[in-house]
This record gives sequence, structure tokens and C-alpha cells, in this order.
Amino acid sequence: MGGDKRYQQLDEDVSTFSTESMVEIEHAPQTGELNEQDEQDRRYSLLYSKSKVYVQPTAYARDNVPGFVAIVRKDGIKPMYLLAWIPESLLEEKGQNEWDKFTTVESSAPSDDEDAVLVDLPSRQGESYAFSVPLSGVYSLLVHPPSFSSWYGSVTIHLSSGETLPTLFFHDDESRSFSSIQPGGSTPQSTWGGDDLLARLRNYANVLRSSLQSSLYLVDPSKADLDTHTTVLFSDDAVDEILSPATHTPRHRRRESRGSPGNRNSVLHQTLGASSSNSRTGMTILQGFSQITRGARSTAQRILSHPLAKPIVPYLPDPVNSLVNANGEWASWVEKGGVGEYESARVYLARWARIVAEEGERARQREIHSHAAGGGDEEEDSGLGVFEVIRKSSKLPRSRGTRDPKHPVTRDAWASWFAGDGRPIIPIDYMRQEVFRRGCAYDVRQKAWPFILGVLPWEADEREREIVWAKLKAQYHEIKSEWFQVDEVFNRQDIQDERHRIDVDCRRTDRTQPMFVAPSNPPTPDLNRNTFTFSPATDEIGAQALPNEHTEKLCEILLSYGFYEKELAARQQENKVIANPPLSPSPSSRRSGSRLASLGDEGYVQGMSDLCAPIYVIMKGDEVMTFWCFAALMERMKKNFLRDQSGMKRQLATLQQLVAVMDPELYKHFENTDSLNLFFCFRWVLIAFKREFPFDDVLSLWEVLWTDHYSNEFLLFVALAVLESHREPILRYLVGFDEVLKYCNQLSMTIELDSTLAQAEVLFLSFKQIVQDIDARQAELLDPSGLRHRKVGDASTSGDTDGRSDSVVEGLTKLPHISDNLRALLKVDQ
Amino acid sequence: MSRQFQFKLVLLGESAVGKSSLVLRFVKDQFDDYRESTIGAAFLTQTVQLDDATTIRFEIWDTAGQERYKSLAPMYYRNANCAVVVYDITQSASLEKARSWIRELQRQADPSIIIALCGNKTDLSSRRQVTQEEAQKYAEEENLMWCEASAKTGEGVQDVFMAIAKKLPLSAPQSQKGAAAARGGSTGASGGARGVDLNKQTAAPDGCNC
Repeated sequence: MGGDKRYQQLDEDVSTFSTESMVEIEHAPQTGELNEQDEQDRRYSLLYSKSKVYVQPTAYARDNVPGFVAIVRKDGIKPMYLLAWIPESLLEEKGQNEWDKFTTVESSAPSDDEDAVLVDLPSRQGESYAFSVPLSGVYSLLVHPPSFSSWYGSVTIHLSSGETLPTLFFHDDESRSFSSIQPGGSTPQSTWGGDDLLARLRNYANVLRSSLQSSLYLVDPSKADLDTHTTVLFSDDAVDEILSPATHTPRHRRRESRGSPGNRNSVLHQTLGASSSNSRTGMTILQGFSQITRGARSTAQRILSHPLAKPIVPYLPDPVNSLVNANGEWASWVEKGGVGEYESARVYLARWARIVAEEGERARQREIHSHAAGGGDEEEDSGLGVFEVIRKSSKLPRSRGTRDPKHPVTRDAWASWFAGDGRPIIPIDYMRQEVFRRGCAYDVRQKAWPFILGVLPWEADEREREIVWAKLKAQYHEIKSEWFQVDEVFNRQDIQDERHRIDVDCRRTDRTQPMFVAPSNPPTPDLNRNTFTFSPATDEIGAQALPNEHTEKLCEILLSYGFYEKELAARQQENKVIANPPLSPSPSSRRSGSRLASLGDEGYVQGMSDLCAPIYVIMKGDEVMTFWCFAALMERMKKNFLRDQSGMKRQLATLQQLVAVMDPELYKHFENTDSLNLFFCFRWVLIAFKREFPFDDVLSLWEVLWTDHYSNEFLLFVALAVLESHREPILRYLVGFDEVLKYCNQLSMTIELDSTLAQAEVLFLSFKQIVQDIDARQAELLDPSGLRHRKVGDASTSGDTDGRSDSVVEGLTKLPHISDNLRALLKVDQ
Repeated sequence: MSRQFQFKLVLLGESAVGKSSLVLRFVKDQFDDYRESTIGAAFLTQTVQLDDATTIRFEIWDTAGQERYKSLAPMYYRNANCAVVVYDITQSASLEKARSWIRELQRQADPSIIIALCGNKTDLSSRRQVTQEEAQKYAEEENLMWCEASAKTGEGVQDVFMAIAKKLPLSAPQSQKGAAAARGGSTGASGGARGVDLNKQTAAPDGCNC
């Protein structure tokens, strides 16, 4: 081992280290001046220090030697910079003082050199692995970021003399400085200690990444080396090692490695054949989706093949922690119970791969941001994530997302849409589009939601709206009066049951929201309580979290909704028309006799409290407005709560067909794993992702869904976007329905809203494009004119001499079928 | 070499009796005052050591309790080896619901299914509406296991699952160690998902492609 094996892989080094290669160098031969000086003055300014950098002489952890890596400056007419490694034992020998210097420098933010700390550098005697070497004597660095086969990133230093210094392993998880790298560090994108070291070195030397070998960094390369390595200037964006291995994977391998390439070909290659560049967009996007997670897959492959990884579970957290650099996330993940002996190894791996991929995506985002901050293209800062990658990786046009969630509709913007009399000066479609694109600022929602949901008429002035509102208020109180303080109704058995159903759920819905926080003490019995208070009896309080005035109001709204819904159904039955209920107060004559009727298929169903509570919070406890907004929301969603589950079945079936068209490979996987029912999306669809996102994100998501901007069922594209974002872990690790369900349930609170919505939008646009392409191609195939013939020939590349009918039939059967349900996704009924 | 057996267990019972809380206590030894209602279903696993040579791995399906979702229950109790039907000792109506679940299981589940009737919330025994005698008598009549527990305090929770583990037939190994092998078998939980109602209309692979 030595200079002749300069570029060998680190993995080999670990096991073949011998002590004789552990040279101890104070300066390189080239720098004669140092020879004369260093005996007289061993004081150096400490510029950079990093703890828990190990030399690992053998493959056994017990032989590891911990130390500090440091950059120091030797002052003189011409300052000289040195790279050093000092074992902890040596610093301990020198005393606390010396030790403190290193830890102080390590934990302080990179500063100007002026007030540098003076330190000693190791002398020759004793420490066999210690070294300090002038940067001018360093030829190159071989840098290996943490990977799943070697958990600690490493840097191997090659000297111009041909010697190789002991490889340094960065145990970032033990090093106190690691977390401090991120906020104020010299390189915000640093993903591990070695990365940071490289960044620091670049302050003192010209560090160039070899284009021949991406892990090789040349230090102050000669002209000849420059040419040889055709180096590009190393910039911070080259450190995205989580994603980079994937970029070397030839694209065609992806399909080869899959069991069923045919489907993908048949769907998307057909549309490609239609010579429409737009259809290629769809394909590129799908490939782009997989790019996000491909890095994770290849890293996961590495660990699977590594012998150390066999008893996988216990060993993962630390290295993953240091690798993904996901600070709080990992800990919360562990807390959530994601890690434990009872965790299925595959679900575990799948989730882990996801975290790595997401962290990679975040790093990429940071990179985009830093470019944008540097005066780059403003459009790059769109938060679209993966789509920027797609565009970069492809010269084809793409469906562009339009969302701009960073600039929500503010109070002022909202107010500017109305004239003085309250009449809007913009069309409702524009309002919907803006809300879809930008979302609402929090304090706009109370005003905006009744319009978005259609509770208040848009094309009206304030006076007209007040009339409508007065009617709605009266109607609500009329509905509520059917049960409120009406003993024979309120205490009727079926209403008691209904109250119980509602009560137990309202007492466990969003109790972390300030309005719903449970009181710490039970209310004094009988104080301000009467027989018509919602919770059945005072002595039952305590079986669950205590109610408060707001949870009780929520109960009242939900119970009233049952009465309202029952009448609505009766009226619709009578009129045999689908009315537009929230806007058309029901004739009060309908109400007579309803007190006697029991709640049938209507009434409260689990999940409704989840839908109502956020509205209540936004409406600041306004009972009437909450009721009508909730009723309007239920118009969109009551299909989810039918006893026979037909509405849910239809939506999941539609989603299934959507997956079949957009991602046949994933469809096939679901088919093979008995997961085609997509029941793991049940909760997503039933309550519109209420349980999957933090409360504030739910608000943002819902108003986007309610705009019906592209589709009444945009929710299904959000679901598809989530599935697509996780397709690689799902495809690779999850082999049964139970595992997929568990994985998807556990995605809760980990999904990033804005990127998901951006993906959903592009998925919708590409779906639309695919449908248009399929239709165009179908028409083309059936078109008896000669034009058709030529195009088919072009597309199939097989001889077009075999007769047209065969190719027509073949072409038609290859086209995916777009069901009516799928076509309906492209429609908007408002 | 220890043997590992794998069994599918389903929790049924009225809404808010504490099904999810029992599972949370069993699997993670935690209790959450604000446990949300279960939407759809949750799947968890937990392993118990039966004796030196035997471990039992429970694949637990925790279901939504409300009546409205009853039509989804068969997909969870189909192929289940055991069921824990939970009631709330402070709610006599919840025992009635438990009875109806048990009747349904007896009619429609695998005849060999082991059913445990479990009264939860013993920490609230001062408000007890269901006496031990009543529940026990019913359980004996129906030849069910019976127990009481408190997910909140943890009392009796492990015992429920241990008692079931002891009653499960261990003659023919359900699976060897290694989940992959188990899943390849016919009794895996994934088998339970097969033939789900939701699936029927659309499961035919070419149904929507041609």
C-alpha cells in the first residue's frame, strides 16, 4: 500500500491497513522552508478543528483511534496552511487547556483568521498516526461520503511524495460539531464532516474535483493534472452524494431490472409513438419521480448486500442518523415507535429508504435555493422539487406546475378583489385559481372559505349577502330547534345513541388545538349544565378526555347536521333532483313531522368530526357559519360515508385505474401483493388527508381541493402523488397488503405538502395529456385517410407492409383504456 | 432453536371502547389520552415469548368500531386466527355490541377462530355498568375466553394476549422465523386481504384495460 495504489477504494483500505503505512509527516519534501522553521516555532494558529475523526488501523472497532482533524496556519511572510490530525490521547497528554482550544474552535462558527487560537502540533515521538502536512504537499484527497456499506464517511490524503496518510473516518454522530455545521457553517449543504472539511480547505487551496473519478479531489493541481482530469471547478453543488449514484445508473437498467416492462412500454411508449412531444412529458415525469428515490434504492441495495447488514435492525440508527443528517426527524421517527423489534424489517427498510430519499431531496432544494440566492433564475425557487430535476435531465417540455404557495392570498389581496359595496371585481374562477395557486393566508380563511365552499354567493354585494346570511342563520336555528331543548327528541333512544357516537369522537378530535384543549378539572356538577347539555351525563365524564364548550358546540353542529341531512335526503327524494342544498334553504313545510322520523342512513359517521373541527377553528367558533361550511363540505364528501361504502369503493377504484394508466409497474406490484383494493388509501380519501398532515397543512390542502380548479377529484391526484413519491420503497420492500398498509399509515405527518401538491398538479396535467394523446392516437388509427398509415409506420418501426388492419387492431389494443370514471376526473362541475 | 409462530389477530368492538388503546398498550406500552378514532384500519405486530422455545408473533388488525364501517370488517376477520372483542365496562350498550360482533364471528369467521371477550377500562370501575358475573356468564355460555383490562393503567393487557397465545394451536408451525417465509405461506395476513369486497369489482387485472 502506498503511492502506487493511490486511488484504491477505501473499503479495501480498512482491512489492509498496516502500521508501516502509517507515516508521520510534518511537512512534505517540496517545502524546504518549513524544515528550517518548524524546530524553532511549533506554534500554529488553529483555523478549523473537528472532533471524533478516527483512524481505523484494523477492521475492529476496538482498535479505532479517535482524534481531531485540524487546519492550522503557520504565520510568516508567506503564511503556510497545514492539514493535521492529532489523536485525542496526545491532546489529553497536553492537558485540558490544549484540549479546550480544539473543542472551542470546533464549536465556534468559522471566523476570520485574525483572532486565531495558537496551538502546538504533534511532535514526532509517540503518536504513530499523528500528522501535519502543508497543503502545498497534498496531492489529492479521496473522499467517500457515508454510505450504507461504510457508515462513516472518510477522507484519504495522498501526498505529492506518493505517500498515503491514514484514512480519516468521520464519526459525525459522536462529534459535537456536526449539528453546528448546518445553521451557520460555511457550507449550508454540508451533509457530513468530510464535506465540511473540504469546504474549509477550499478557503486555503484550490480544490478541484476530478471528472474522471468523482470521489477524487485534487489540491492545487498542476497544469498537467488539470488537463488530465479535465476538471471543472468544484462547487458546492457537487456534494449531493445521496442522489448522485443514481445519476450514473443507465436509464435502461431500470426497466430491465423490473419484472414487467411490458405494461410501461405499452402505455407510455405508445403515446410516444404519437410523435407528440407532450406525451413524452408524461413519461419523463414518471421517470423523474423515480429519480428521487432511486438514490435510496441503490444505497439500500448496498446495505442489503453487506454482510454487516444481515442482522439489520439494531445497527441502523446511528449510521443513518449521520448519513441522512435529519436531525430531529430521526428522533421523532424513533419515538413514533417506528423502530423496534416488532417492526417488520421490510417496512422498516422501506421507511428508512424514504427518509434518505427525502433528505436527499431536501439537500437538493437547499442547493436550488442557494443558487437562487446567488442571483439565479427566480423560477428555480418554485419549490417544485423533483420537477426541476426532470427539466434539467430532459430537453423536452414538461407540464408545468403553477402553484406558488410561498405567496398566499393576503388580507389586502383578498380585499382588493371586492368593490366598495362588496361586489367582487374579479370572476369567481379567478378567485378559485388564485386560491389553488397560492392558498390563503391564515387570517383570510375565515372570510374566504364561505365563498370557496359556496356558502355565500360570489356574485352579490354585501347587502345581498347579508340577506342570504340572515336566512342561513334562521334556517340553522330552525334545524337545531328540532332537537335542542326538546326533551322527547333529545332523549329519544336513537338520538341518545347518535349523541354518544358524536360525543365520543368530538372528545378525541384535535384536542391539541388551543380551542379544543381539554380542561384539567371536571366541571362542577350541575353548574350551568342542564339536561340538554350534550355529554350524556355528568358522571360519565372522565371515561375520555373532558369536553369543553367548543367540543360541545362541535357536537351540536354535528347532531344538527344529521337532522339537516335527513331532510335534505327527503326533499331530494321528493323532488327527484339533485339540489344545490347549502344555497337553497329548504321549505319549512318539509320540516313538519321530521321530529318523529329517526335518523336513517344519514347522521353522524366517524370521520365527520375530523372534517368539521378545522372549519370550527377557522370560523373561530362561529357555530352557524361552521355548520353551513361543514354542510357544504359534506356535499362534496358525503359519498364517503355511505353505509355500503359505495362512494369509497368508487373512488378507490378510480384511483386504482389512475395508477394503472400512470404507473403500470406500481399497479402490477399492487396486484401481486393483494393490494389492488388500495385500502391503505382509505383514510386519505375518507377524510381528505386530515390525519396525514399537521393541522395547518390540512387547512392549506383543503382549500386547494375545494377550488375544483382542475378537477372535482383532485384529491385522487394528491393520493397518486403520495404513492408515486413512495413507489420505490413500496416496489422494493413491501410484499404484502399488510405491509403496504402499515407503511402508508405511518407516512402520516411525514408528507411534505407543497411538493406533494406540486406533484399532484403535474400528475394531473400529464394525465390529461396522456388521455388526449390516447384519444388522438385512437382517432388516428381509425382514420381511414392515408395520413394515418404513414404515422403508424413511423411509430411502430416494424414494416408497414403487413397490411393496415393488423396494425390498427394491434395499435388499438395496446392503447390503455380510459374508463368513464377516469374521464370524469378531467371534468369540473361547480 | 426457538420456534416462532405467527397469528393474525383482529380487534372488534364498539367505537371508543378502547381497541386502539389496548393495542397501543400491548405493542408500545403507551397510553394516549387523546387517541383519535381509528379510520380504516391499523396494522401492528408484536411478539410475545410463550416459553423458552416458543415465540408468538401477533399480526394485529385494529379496526374502526363504528357501525357504519361494519361492512369492512370481514376483510379483517377473514383468515384471522384470533379475535379480541372489546367492550367498555362502563357502557352496558357496548357489551350488546360485543355480543353482535361475536355472533357475526361465529357465523362468518373461520370456525377455529379463538375469540376473547375483553372488558376494558377497569380503572373506571366505580362507574361500572357491566358486572364481571354478567360478562363471564355470557362468555362461558358461548365458550369464549373472557378477561378485563385497563389500557390506561396497563392492568391485564399483557394477560389478554398471553392467554390467547397459550390457547393457540401450536402443533403445526405457522411459520418459521423470517417474515418473508411466513408471508409466502397461505395463512399470512396478506391472505386476509384477498377477496376483499372493495376489490371485487375491479380486481380483474385486465378489467379496465380492455
